[in-house]
Amino acid sequence: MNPEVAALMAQLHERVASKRAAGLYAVDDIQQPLATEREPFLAEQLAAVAGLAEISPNLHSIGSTRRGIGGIVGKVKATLVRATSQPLIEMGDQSTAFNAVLVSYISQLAQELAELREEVARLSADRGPEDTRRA
Amino acid sequence: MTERGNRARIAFIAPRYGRSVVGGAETLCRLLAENLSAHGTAVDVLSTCATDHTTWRNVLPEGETDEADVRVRRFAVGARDGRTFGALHSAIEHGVHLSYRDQVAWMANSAWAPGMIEAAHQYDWVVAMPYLFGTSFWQVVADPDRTVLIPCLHDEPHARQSVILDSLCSARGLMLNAPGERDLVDELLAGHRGGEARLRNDPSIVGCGFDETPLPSTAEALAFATRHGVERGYILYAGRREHGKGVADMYAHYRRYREVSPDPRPLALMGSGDLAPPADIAPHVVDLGFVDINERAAAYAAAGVLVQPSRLESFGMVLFESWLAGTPVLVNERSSVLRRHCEVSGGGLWFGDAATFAEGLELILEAPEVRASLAAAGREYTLTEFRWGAVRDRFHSALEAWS
Repeated sequence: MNPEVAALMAQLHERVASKRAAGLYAVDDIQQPLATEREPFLAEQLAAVAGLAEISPNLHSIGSTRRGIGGIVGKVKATLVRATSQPLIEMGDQSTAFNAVLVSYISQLAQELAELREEVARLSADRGPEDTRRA
Repeated sequence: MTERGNRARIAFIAPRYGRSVVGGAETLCRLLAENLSAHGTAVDVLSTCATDHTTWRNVLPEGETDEADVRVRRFAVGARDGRTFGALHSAIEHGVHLSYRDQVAWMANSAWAPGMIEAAHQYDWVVAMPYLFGTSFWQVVADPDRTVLIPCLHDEPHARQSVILDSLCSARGLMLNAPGERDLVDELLAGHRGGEARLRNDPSIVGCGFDETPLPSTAEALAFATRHGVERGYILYAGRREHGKGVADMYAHYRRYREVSPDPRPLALMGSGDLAPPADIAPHVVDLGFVDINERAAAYAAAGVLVQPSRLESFGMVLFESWLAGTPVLVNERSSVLRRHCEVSGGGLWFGDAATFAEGLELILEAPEVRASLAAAGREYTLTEFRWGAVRDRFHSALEAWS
């Protein structure tokens, strides 16, 4: 490390330590976890997730590309899929229902979080410099 | 400069390209392509017809154009489901663990251009950037032997996905922007495939280059500050105003700085973005907006210090611009790239919280000799390590080593 910058960083940490000891940055130590660099989860993103909540397998895309017998194989496959698809459809419905509830719950949490963030911002703004120095 | 480096036909791949395109990797691509081309290397740029990185709509015509003496070939963005991509991208960002199959689906719905992959076969080397887009990812999948990645890695959840780390290991070589990015690569690979994942070749640190320019005069700096109605010696932030760049944290720390400093300086913001300062500090924040390239050096020179709160940087272009203009920096210590630049150069200090932010500003701004010494060290580092000639040499040496 560059020796001059190492000395300056040591000086910086000394300054912070002495001011912390005097109680100057006590509030910041509590507030620090509130800061975030993560983009808030936007309503549009939530809408995209909600759009994917419905599980609907495509049962009509069954076919075969085998030369010659592809048509027959495709028909056999389609018949088998039709005959066995009922549990799959029920599973899809169940997944969709579960996802829908989950997305609704997440939406509710997102709304509550947004309200809490607004409240924190309002309280921070209300707190005057004098109050902070006393803290 | 090596013989092979000079004679080889090189294609640069960037998801978007052009002077009006904003973005670190896109700017790096343009500067490298223009500089190498101006010094005799056969360089073409392959890009998409899109200009908006959210819609990826094809707005520019397909075909060739000549831009600053570089041949640019644009290809239409291929079929993709933007909704699926958005959902998976957000899920990764918020810490959701995706299966390998879902990670592939994420990349399959990222921006890519089938025509670009086809055209890339015509070149000796393909240099693709950055790692996060389908244009780079599918190029590595299609032709790993010919493809070099300039990943522009950030320490973010997307970089920790297995498909991305496999892509880094598949490419013929990695050109990194800074020593701190090398540390990040080592850390990411240590946690991948039980620590058994290996790169094909040793990565090379290349970065971006700068020309030596004279320090802006005091009169120029003063004129800039007067034109923008701000007192000289302000705290400058240059970049996009968004959460991902640490701007919300910077606002919070700046509020604290104002409360503890006996003589707080105003905060000036250069660039664009939607993240406005909170109402209580807004009267002390000056919006410089987009500053023309001809004025930018004066904007840095008029500042007392440049603050870079972003953790997600692979190079830190603004640090070098600031140092060249004679202004020291205060950076986020959680960015290994930015911190390493400061540790090695001696051109700036670093902060980890509101206290070190506020006291770091005070330390730099209250003593003119400290400020001058830091700035001079940063300028020296820029002109020694990142002069264009040195960058070109490192670029060609890397290709020769991987031949």
